[in-house]
Amino acid sequence: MRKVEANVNCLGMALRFGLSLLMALVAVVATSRVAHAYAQWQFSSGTVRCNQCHYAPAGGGLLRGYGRDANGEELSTFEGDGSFLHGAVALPSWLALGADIRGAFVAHNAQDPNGTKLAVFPMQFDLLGRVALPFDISFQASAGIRGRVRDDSQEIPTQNYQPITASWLVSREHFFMWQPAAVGPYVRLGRFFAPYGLRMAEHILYVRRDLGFNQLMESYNLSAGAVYDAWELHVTGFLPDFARHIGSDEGGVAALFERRILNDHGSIGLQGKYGNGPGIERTMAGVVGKLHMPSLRTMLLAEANLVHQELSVVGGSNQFVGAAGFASFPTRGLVLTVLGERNHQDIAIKGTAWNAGTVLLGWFPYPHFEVAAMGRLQFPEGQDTTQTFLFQIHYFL
Amino acid sequence: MRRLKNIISSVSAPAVLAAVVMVSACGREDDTRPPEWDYISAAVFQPNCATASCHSRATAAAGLDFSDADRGYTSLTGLWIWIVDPNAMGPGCRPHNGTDICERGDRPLVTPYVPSQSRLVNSLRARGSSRMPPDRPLTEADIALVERWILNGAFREPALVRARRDGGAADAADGTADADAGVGPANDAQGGG
Repeated sequence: MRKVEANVNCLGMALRFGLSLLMALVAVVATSRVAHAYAQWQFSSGTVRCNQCHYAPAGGGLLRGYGRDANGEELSTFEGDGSFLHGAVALPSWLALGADIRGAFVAHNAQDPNGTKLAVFPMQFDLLGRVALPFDISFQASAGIRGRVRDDSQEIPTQNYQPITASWLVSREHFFMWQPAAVGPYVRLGRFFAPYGLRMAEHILYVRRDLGFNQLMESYNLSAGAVYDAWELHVTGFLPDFARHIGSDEGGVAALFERRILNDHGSIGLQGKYGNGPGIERTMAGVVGKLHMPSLRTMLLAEANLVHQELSVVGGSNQFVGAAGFASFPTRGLVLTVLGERNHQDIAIKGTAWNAGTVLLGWFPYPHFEVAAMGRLQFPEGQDTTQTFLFQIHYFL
Repeated sequence: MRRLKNIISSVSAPAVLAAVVMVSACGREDDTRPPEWDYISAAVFQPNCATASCHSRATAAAGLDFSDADRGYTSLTGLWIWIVDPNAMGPGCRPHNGTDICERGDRPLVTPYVPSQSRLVNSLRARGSSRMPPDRPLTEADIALVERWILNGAFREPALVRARRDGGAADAADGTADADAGVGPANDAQGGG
């Protein structure tokens, strides 16, 4: 009997230790950053369209030759060769390859009784590829290691009434696209984020996290639109991730229209999204704006969204999610971004909001390299402030 | 004309943003949100807990899946574990690594009617336990809403549905169903506990 108690105590200690470790690791993973796009480069680098640098019509992911050249010659502090493998190998025109590798250090204080969590961890390892096919069609995909630090079978060895569908391998994006030219209409089919919002790289920002664009929450879509220098339009029908079951179970439609203004020094966008899932309807509408002021080497950024969610049994509520701030470019290769954010979960009720302030300093010292530091304060109403510091090194092939 | 349009365009975005932020800053002091699992799951647990690396359906860290209301409710109330049992016999038991283990109900994360004894609340408040969610604590109002749900009995179905099923639709319609279905038994439980 004593042996049994000892076993149970030992099991309890192991569980407590495991849970503490898990929480630390979850904190790390939950605060990580994964490549998405650098919304700050639009206008400030002389480009008006995201797909001047990226193959994807709304930006993000694999770079075109123009983007690689810009990284090699204009966006890095010291010039070099931004092309694949630093120019060591010339790829045929029908093939584009790349990779994203990130490592990070994080210190995160959520007023936890166990103190500040510290960790060094691999954040991302993704391989990217694009193959041009006949009839202006292409196929683009990424494959990589999922950003987690534990094996599910070790985590929950004895109870598994809910089957785990995840694996270590992930493919954030895989899609076919018809696009005769970078400027003009396109149709895209596959897994990716529906174009919406500022599309910042940091998935922890409320305008991504709380609007359904968090890490690995890409949906399966049929998207059509057109991209021109003066404007762009993206209309996307989306279905939930039926393969990995990450993110919402909603299906629906999203649209983003963005028009360049002030002689291509800024843009204003209107956006909307409607999703319908089991027992829930979610409708959101928002505005997005950017204004670049070359004389100040600064760009203003803002996004505001109203979200109405209707639950079939208990009624509806309205949410506000927004971010506003600026990105400054003091010298070549250096980007300072300051953002204020608000997520008011039910605007009819006081005390249901999170506010946050984030300072991001990105340095692109040499082509293919990025060093970034982020300081972030979050203020959940009625709770203590949460503090996060993240330092990361990023290399892309 | 074009210049005027540009000016209007550049001014309208900040104006809309400011107006929306001002609206968001308003709101009533008393929390009228329903302390029902369907609402709490959709408004609190799914956006804050069901992230890719944590309690999504794909990852279900610690066996907890908050990706929808049913899975979330099961995670909070229906977990089971294998424990060592020297007297193992019968269904649910099997040998494992030289000993015998049996399937038993785990202590649920919520104790109906008693928020203070619910592991869920202790995690949300970081009270003798690591904080959840670790990246961003819930607001005080959200935690209080979860506590009210537990205090009302932590039922899966909304009070209105329970009242209709139990023939108390009239009570539900005039707003007394919640009290009938939850608060009374909660007081009993606390008194007896």
